[in-house]
Amino acid sequence: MDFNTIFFGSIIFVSLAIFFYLGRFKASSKQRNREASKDKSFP
Amino acid sequence: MGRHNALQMLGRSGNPALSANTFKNEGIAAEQVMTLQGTVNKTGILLALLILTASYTWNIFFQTGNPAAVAPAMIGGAIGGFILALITIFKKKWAGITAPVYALLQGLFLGGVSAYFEAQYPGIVIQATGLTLGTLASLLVLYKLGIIKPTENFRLMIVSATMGIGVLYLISFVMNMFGSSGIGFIHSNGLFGIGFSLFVVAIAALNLVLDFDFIEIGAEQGAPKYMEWFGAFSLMVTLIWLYLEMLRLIAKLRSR
Repeated sequence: MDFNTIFFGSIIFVSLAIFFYLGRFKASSKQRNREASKDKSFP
Repeated sequence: MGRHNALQMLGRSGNPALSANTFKNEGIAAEQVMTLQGTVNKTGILLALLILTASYTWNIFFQTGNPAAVAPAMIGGAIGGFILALITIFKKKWAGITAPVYALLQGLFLGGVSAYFEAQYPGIVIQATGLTLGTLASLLVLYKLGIIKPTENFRLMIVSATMGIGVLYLISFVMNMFGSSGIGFIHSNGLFGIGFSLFVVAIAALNLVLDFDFIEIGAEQGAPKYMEWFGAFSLMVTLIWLYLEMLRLIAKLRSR
């Protein structure tokens, strides 16, 4: 197995693990606070 | 056109599968509601189905060594997938059936395309897959932590850029059909071509943030259970686009 396969294969494995684990949880309250996320740069 | 009116017309996401009324029209289910866990699981199912059919066309390509051998499956997968995508967008209640079929058909197409690129640039497929999924995970972390916030200006920018790219690709496609070389620089491996690909990859990646936000809102508002399939489908549409753009970008870089 070459370096390319090991390196990108590891990225795939870790990324999928992050997605399937983190995807189950709600976003932080900072994100879910819709009022705070509204852009106020325009009137 | 006012900023809010524009968003109302264009939708909150650049992804055509998602619009401002996606959840509004679905009502609130009394018992079974959309959850984040359910959507993640269904995304996993769609990914598995896609890999299943992709490996079929991939194997045919490398067994025969003939691109023409996979052409019917690829063209059928691309056209069939497009039709299924339209059906899913307009008939969200059918997403439980149409989204898996969409993934199967897109797998046929992606397997053939990936094999074609792999034959020309060995190792490119695992690079593109790694970068696509790496982008997915990174943006999910940034979104969940509230570091990237899909504000109205952010949404408007991504929607506009996505539509612009769509129009450019359409013009290039039509020009190709009439025998022209199309809009040359977007396919070239020069600095402009690579710059354009980087821009498209960035826009495709930022569409993921809008997908995450839509799924989050759907789960928060208690959308019906079948919207889990629709949310997973929307994520797949963006992931497939991002993967194809990654393939094009890496191919351009490696052909220099």
